[in-house]
Amino acid sequence: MRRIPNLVSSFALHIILLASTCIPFTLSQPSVPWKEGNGDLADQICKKTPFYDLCSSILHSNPLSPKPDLKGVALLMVNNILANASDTLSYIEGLIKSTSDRELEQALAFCAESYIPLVKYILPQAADAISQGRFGFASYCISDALKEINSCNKKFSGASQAPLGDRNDIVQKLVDVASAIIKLLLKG
Amino acid sequence: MKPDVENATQSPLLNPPSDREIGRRAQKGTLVSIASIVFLILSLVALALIIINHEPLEKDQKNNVKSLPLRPRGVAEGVSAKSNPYLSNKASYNWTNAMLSWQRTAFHFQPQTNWMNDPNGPLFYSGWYHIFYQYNPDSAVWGNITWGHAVSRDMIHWLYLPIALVPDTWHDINGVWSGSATLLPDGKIVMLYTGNTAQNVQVQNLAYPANLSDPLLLDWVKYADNPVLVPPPGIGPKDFRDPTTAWIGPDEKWRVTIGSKVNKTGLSLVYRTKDFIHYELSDHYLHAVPGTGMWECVDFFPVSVNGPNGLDSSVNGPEVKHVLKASLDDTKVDHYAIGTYFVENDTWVPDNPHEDVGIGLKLDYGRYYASKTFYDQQKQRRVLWGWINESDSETADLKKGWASLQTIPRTVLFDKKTRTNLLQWPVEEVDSLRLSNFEFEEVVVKPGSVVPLDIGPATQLDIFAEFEIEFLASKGIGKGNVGCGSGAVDRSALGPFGILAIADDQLSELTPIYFHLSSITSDASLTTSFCVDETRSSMAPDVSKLVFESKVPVLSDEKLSMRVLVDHSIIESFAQGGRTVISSRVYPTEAIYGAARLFLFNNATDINIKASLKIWQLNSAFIRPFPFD
Repeated sequence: MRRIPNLVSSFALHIILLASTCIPFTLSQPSVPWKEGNGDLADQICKKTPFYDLCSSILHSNPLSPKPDLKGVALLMVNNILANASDTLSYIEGLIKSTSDRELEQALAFCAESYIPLVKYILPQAADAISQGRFGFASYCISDALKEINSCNKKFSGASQAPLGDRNDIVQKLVDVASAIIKLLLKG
Repeated sequence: MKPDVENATQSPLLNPPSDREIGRRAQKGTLVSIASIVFLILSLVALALIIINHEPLEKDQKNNVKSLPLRPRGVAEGVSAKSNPYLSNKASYNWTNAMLSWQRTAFHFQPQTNWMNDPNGPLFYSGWYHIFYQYNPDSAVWGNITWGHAVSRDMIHWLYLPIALVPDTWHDINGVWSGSATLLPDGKIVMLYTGNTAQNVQVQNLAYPANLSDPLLLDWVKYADNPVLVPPPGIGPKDFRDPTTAWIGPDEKWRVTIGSKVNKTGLSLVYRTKDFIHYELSDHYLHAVPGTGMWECVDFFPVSVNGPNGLDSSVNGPEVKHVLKASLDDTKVDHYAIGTYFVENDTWVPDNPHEDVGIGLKLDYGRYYASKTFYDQQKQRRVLWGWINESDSETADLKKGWASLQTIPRTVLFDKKTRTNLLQWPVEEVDSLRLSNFEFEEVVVKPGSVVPLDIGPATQLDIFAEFEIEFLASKGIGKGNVGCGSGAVDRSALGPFGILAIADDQLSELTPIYFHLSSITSDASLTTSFCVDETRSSMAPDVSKLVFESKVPVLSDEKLSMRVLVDHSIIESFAQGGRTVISSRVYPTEAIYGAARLFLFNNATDINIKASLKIWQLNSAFIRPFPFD
C-alpha cells in the first residue's frame, strides 16, 4: 500500500472526521455559538491542549447548546472520541473478516479487545462522569482510554504494515486533547 | 543465561548455617554433628526456658502479650478463629520498621491499613471488577466487621472505594459478614450476606445497589424488611452463614445454598426463591459429609468438562460437572469435590465418595481460606478469590498496622487430563506487571548442591520452572511414599529439589519450594509431592513455620513444572499447571530488600536435576484510593 503524503491523508481524515462527527451532533441548535462572542472560548481551551488545530477544528464545526462552557466542551470532545472509536472498531472487525494473514488477524483481534471496552464502557462512563461533574472519575477513564489505545498501537509499531493507518493515531490525539480539557476542569 | 554452577555450594541443605564452612569434608562432618548436637541442646534449653519462665520482656511488650486474648478472636461471636493465640505466647521478635515495611506486598490486594478477611460479593459490572471484603476499619485484628470495597479494570490494578456496608441495623449490628452477589438477567444486582444480629443470631440479609447507573456501585441499600432468612428448625443460631451466588433452575426459581452443620456433620442447605425475599427450604441438603464439622463459605459452581471457558452459575447439562466447595471451620482448610448436580431435587453427589467434600482434595494446601468464585462474563472465566491470613503474631500485625491479603485471582478450569482435579492459574492480567526477564536453559544441579540465580532483585517475581531428572545410580530405589517429610533437609533418593525463594546469600533464611518424588520398589511409577517449607523462612521465633504438603498427579507425558509468584511476604506456588497450589507467608529478617536472592537446589542423593527457568521481575500494581475529585 503506497503511503499517501502525510498532509493530504491527514487533511482527508480531518474531513472524514468532521463529516462523521457532524451527523450525531445535529441537534436543534443549528447556529454555531462560537461566533456569538464565544469564539474566544474555543481558542482559549484549544491552546491548552497538545493538538490545537485538531481541537479547534472539532469545536468550530460542532453546534453546542447556547452557553458552551468548559464542561460542555469536554463532553463534546469525549463524545467525538466515542464516535471515532466506534468507527475504528467496526473498521478493525471488517479487516479481521477480510484478511487471510494469521499474524495480522491476531494483532487486529488484540486491538479489537482494546477497543471493545473503550466503546462499551470507558468512553460512555467518561461522558456520564463529566455530565455529573465527577471530573476525577472522568480523568481516570480517559487515562484508561489512553492505555487501551496505546496497547493497540504497540501491536503495529515497527511493523511493515499499518492497516489501521492513522485511525489509531487520530483517536490517540483526540484522547490527549480530551485529557487536557478534563485536567482544566479538575483545576476548577 | 549461565548461572554460577562452578561456585555452587556442594553441601546439602542439612543444618542451619551456624556451622557453614566449605572445607575438608571429614572434619566438617564431625564438626557438623558436634555443632548440631550443641545447637539441639541449646534450643531445647531455650524452649524449656520459654515454657517454664515468663520471658523477661520489656514492659510494653509484656503488657501487650498479656492483653491479647487467649481464645482466638471470632469464635465467641460465632465465626471461625481469626487469630492464633499460640504465637502470642512466643517471645516477640524485635521487628524493625524496615522488616515490617518490607512485608507489604507490591501487587496483591490488601487495604491500606487494618484487618481484612473473607472476600465477598465479587462481580464484573459495567466495565469494572468489584471486590468487597470483610474489613475492620479500626484495627489490625478482626472485629467491627464492615464490607470494604475496591474496583479494578483488570483485577490487578485496584482502586480503593469507600466502605460499602456497615453494621447499622439490628440484623447486622454485630457484624456484616460474608455473602455473594447475583447478577440478574434484567441487569439488577442482588447481594445476599450474613448479618450477626443484636442477639448474636446468624441471619441472611438482602442488599442492592442504590444506583445501577453508577458503574462504581458506591452506595448500597439494605432491604427494608431484613432479614430474609433466619436459621431454620434444627439448625443452630450460630451455624447459618455465607450465602452463595444464586443459580436459576428450569422452573424459573433461583437457588441459594448456605453452609451449616448438624452435630459433626457438615452440610449445605438449599433455598429456592423467585424474588430473593420469600424463600422455601429444600427437603434435601445439597450435600452433607459426616465428621467434617461446620461448612463456612460454601461455593457451588459448574465447570465445563470439554470446553475451554468458565461457566455462568446457572449453566447445567451433560457436558457440565459441578464443584462443591466448603471452608472447614474445624481445620481452617478449603476443600472441594467434583460431582453431579441433580436439579430435580437440588442435591449433589461426588464423583468419588472417598474424596468427598472435606475429606479429599484441597483448593490450596497452604495458608488459605474462605475462598469464593464468580463468573466473569466479560472474559467468560470462572475466577477464584482466596483470603491469605497472616501467619506472624498479632503483636507484629498491630505494630505494622495491617493484616491479611487476597491471592492474585485465579481462573478455575476442569482438568481434562486427570478428570479428577481443578486447575487454578493466576489471571493473565498479572502478565501486565512484567518488567525484565531472565532465562536459564537446562541448568544441571548435582546432588546436594545449591545454585544461585543471578536475576537482581528477588522480591517481586513470576517464576516458571521445569525440571528433568537424570538417574545416577540404578533407577531410584529408595524410601517409599516419603511426602514432604520435615522439609527440604529431609532427603532421599529422588528429592527434594526445586527453588529457594526469599533466601539470603548465607542461606540463613530460605523458603524451599520443591518436588519430592517417592519411589515404589516394585514398579517404575512414582508419586510426586509438591511442598513449601517455611521452617527456615525466618530467624524470628514468633512466626508460623510449617511444611505445606500436597500430592500432585503427574502424567507420563508431562515434565515436572512449577510456577511461583513471589511478592514480598506472600508466595503462591502452582504445580503442574495449577493442579496443586500452595500459598504461604514468609517473614524474613535478613532476606529482605536487596538481600533477597533466588536459588536452585537439589538435595536428592541419587539424581541430577536439569532445570529450565523463565523468570520475570514484576512491577508494583500501585493499588491506591480511587482518584475522586
